[in-house]
Amino acid sequence: MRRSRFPFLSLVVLGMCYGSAIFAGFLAPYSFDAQNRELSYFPPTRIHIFDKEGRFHLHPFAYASVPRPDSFGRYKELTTSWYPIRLLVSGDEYTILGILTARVHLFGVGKPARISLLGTDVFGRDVFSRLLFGSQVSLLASLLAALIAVALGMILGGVSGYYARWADAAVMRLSEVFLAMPWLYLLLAVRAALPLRMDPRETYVVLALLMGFLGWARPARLARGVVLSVKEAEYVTAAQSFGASRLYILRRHIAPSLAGVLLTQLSIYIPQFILAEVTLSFLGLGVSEPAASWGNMLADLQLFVSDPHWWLFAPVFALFIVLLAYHGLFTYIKRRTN
Amino acid sequence: MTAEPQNAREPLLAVRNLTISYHSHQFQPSKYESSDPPAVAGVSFSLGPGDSLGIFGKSGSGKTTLARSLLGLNTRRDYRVTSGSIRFRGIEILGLPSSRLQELRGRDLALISQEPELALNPVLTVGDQIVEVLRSHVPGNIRAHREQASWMLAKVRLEDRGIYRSYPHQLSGGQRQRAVIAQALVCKPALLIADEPTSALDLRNQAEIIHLLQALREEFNLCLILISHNVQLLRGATGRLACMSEGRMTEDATPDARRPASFPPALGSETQGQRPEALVQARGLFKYYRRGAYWSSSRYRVTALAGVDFAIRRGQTVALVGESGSGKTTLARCLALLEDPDAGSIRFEGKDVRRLSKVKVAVIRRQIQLVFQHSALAMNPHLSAEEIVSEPLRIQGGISHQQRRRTARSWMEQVGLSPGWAGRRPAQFSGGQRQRLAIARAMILNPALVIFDEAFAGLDPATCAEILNLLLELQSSSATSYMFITHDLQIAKDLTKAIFVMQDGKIADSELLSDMLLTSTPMRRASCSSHT
Amino acid sequence: MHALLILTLASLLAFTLGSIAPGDYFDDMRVNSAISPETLAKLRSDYGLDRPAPERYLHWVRSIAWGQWGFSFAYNSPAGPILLSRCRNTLLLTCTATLLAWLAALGCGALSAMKEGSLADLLVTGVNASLLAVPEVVIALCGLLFAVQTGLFPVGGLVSLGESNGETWAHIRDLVRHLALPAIVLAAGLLPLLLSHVRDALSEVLRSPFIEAAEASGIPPGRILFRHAFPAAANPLITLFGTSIGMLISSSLLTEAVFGWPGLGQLMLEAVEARDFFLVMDSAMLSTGFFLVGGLIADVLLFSADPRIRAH
Repeated sequence: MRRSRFPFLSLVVLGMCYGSAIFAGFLAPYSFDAQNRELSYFPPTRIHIFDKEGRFHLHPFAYASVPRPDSFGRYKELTTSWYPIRLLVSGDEYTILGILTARVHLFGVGKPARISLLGTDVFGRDVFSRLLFGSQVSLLASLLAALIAVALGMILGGVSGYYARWADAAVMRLSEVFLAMPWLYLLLAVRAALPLRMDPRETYVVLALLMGFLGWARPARLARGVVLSVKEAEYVTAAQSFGASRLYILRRHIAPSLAGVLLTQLSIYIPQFILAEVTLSFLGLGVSEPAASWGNMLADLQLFVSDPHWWLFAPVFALFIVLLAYHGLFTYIKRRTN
Repeated sequence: MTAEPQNAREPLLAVRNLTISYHSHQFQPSKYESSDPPAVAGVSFSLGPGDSLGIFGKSGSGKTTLARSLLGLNTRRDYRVTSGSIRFRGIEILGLPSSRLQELRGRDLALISQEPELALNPVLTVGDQIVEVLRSHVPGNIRAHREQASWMLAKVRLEDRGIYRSYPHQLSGGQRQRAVIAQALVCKPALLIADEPTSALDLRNQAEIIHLLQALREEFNLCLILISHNVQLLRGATGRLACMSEGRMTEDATPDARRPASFPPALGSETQGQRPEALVQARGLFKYYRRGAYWSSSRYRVTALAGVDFAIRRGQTVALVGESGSGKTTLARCLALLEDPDAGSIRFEGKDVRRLSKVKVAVIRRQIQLVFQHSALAMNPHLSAEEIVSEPLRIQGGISHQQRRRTARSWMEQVGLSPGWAGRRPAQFSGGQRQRLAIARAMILNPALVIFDEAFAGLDPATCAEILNLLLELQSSSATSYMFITHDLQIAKDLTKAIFVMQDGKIADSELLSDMLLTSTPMRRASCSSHT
Repeated sequence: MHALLILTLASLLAFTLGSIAPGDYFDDMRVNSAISPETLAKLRSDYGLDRPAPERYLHWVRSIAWGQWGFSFAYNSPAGPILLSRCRNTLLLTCTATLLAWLAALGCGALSAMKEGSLADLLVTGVNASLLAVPEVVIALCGLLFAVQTGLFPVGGLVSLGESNGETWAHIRDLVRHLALPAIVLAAGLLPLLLSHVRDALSEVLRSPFIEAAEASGIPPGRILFRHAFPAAANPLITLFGTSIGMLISSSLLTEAVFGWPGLGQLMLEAVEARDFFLVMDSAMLSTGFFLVGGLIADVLLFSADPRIRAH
């Protein structure tokens, strides 16, 4: 068996993903809803350093493109003038975490050229930008939801396990009801109770709260199990024989075990919440157009299956990377605690 | 037992210069040349059909590794035979392809191990498991096999028809071990290796199993290798004896029947340091437990303690003996003030515990320490050894962190553990070492009474002796009282003369005691007379 | 029994959610100026939408008892028959997928556990880990893409119209062609979880002392696997079966949505979007019911498979 190595790679990947989610506006050259109907399904912009005549330019540049007159979705580059790719350009307005407003983007290119690193979708919106903005919802909202669910679960489950009797029975029955419903049906049913079309900003928070409050049951049962098993453990009896108070036992024995277990479980829950959000948005019940979410972007694929372009699969790859990173983290934690 | 003459032809089993090494997991996973001493080092012996060999040695001496390798079972990653040969009926076992090995095992060679409940599949009936062995080796129809399985069960004295259809968890320990023996012998192999077949059983069953093995050996002309850490067990049972120590085997014609010289004299039997007044006195203790769920109608009451009167003086050593379920642990927990009895009183230094305030009770609790049987469970697996040992000090408060560390380490040294291991987790220690940690932890508060609840079960005699010596030293300097709880009368007798026997929640009176001391299992009688 | 209690509580939950929904089916009609508010009010009272909550709840429960299951506004008929046909379709899909997934999981899991550490094992676990990281949404989309691009499988619906002309065999063949891809996709979504658990359970059992004892008795490895290891691993595996049903039901919703399979899941989706809240509540309840029934089946299986459970 391989010795478990510290999952540097996983942490770095996740750090980059979440970091880019927070700074999405800065990193994306365009806003998520900037349409350009002329350039639908534009393939990723080619970045050149040699121009048509074979001259070398120190500064990478791009050409403007126009649609080919004869076909839909095929483009031709106009090699008459070249547009250098500049750093720290001014562009569409965006906010960071809803607090800071700015206009400066990491890179960009002068009009009428477009720098679409991952092409555009049917409405001509830049996929790369939408991917970044989409990660704000898919990654950050789900993270928030997971934290809410785990916190809620820890409190309810901990109380249930520690005090037993009535509290325990009540919490357990309640959790069983929540767990008895298949999660997607539960999510949809609750979603049905909310207005169908909501303001995107509201949706974000509502979604996080929704998933968080519905997902408390499993962490609660787990927390309860841990608290019960520690409470009954012989080393707690031993501590009592040394004169330990309840507070001491809670602090020294129960809390660390609880924290340990929940940390492991977080690395499972967060991906589940990410997938829940993606599924919900895919079905059209998450964030609504024109806001971007990885689920939204995947839904577009469904509509246009007969004409799939590889760059439209970008969210798939992004999801894959994130989930693999979490899997690596989880494997490491599992090996450590065993 | 008269030794059979050695077969003049090729011996049944010939082991020559066998050396097996293993590596410790922490270091190179793939290299086998380690500087660790080999598990089995240059062992050689041979046996003919119908011979019997007893192998004894303390735990870790390589007995089990040797036993397993005789069946070619050590081909897992950990073990590797570095030299030597094992020939069974002239066939070289080492390096034999697994299909051939599979034919030999069960049919010609058989192995039974220490814990019978682990050797039996919990979801198959006992009879079916025996039939499985038959069907793998002997052609025939299933009805014939079933009959043969029943016949074999009768041979091991499990004649009851119900046993065939029972599952392992429905049988007692002794019955399970017989079932395992039946399974091993059903194909009538020529060689049976019994690795510690009785260690997990109580005394009565131990003797019966050994007798059974001897009887079967005669009936089937079995060649028997019997392995145990208990020399006295082997002495009457096998023709030859060999001692294994650190991987080396030396054959012994007349092994020392006495206990190892380092075994300490009975503790606390003299009146040194004893005071006449009782330290802890229990009167009329009753304790009940309820089994079954809250709302279930089948909720019933189990009486764990049925009126116990008990007293122990300062500096005294007592032993409490009883079968499992007799209430020993409950009594221990009540005395340690970890549980409240439902009726009766407990006095500490004359003061009734029930009348005292919570704070005072907590103080007294520290004076009575309990060392649990399963040391692994009694320690938080996430804490380091140092933290575990110093926990009582930490709870008590008023001592600086440095002082705690120093005290913990000094106690670790006193119990024979290197202070350099202070940072290790409990799982990284062996059973015996953990037990020492538990003792260090119990002693760190200088308690007046230490109760050892089956704390020496599963430890080999040499380790027991070391620890008991240590306890003796401590007692002479601080007049600590000890209470040893055990199910083994033999150990109790070795420890002290003040023995209490517990049965069905009560302390038996002294007539019953002397009766029990002369109980009629042949082995005990034999060993008693040898002691004189 | 315990399950009934849960079901009742779940129905309460579903109902509460349904009734706090702002707006109802008739909201869209408000926009239409041709329909007067009085007509709307009358429609509402006809359908009993203006009664107090407890009364509506009892009314609903009663209608379930009578087999009507409330009323679907979108379909303009009692919900019962619609639900029945949809449930049948969903059951067909999920049962097929379960069978496929479990067969694959048991086969590959056994192979992987027996040859632990070998190339085959690493391959299986590696592929499984990657598959685990692929969301079901993606699997479904890939399946869809595959179908459309290759034309091997038809997409959408139970059967293609006009294909069979009433002949049973042709009808069944057509059904199978439509069923194949959604079932495979659903199974593929379930497989990674199952496989990892099967492998873990078997691997642990194969390391048990009693398996080694069986090995020491010379029982051949094939026999050990089937007659000794699998029965011993039955306990955790049956438990896994019980808990995986919930996931299966949710995944089937997604699969139905992508492939247009007319099942309960798709009905739920339509009902949520149309705000047809009787259907929403009914679908939620039925899905819970399936889950609970599955759990009961698992309990019964467990009872018969593990003698230690019977001992209680």
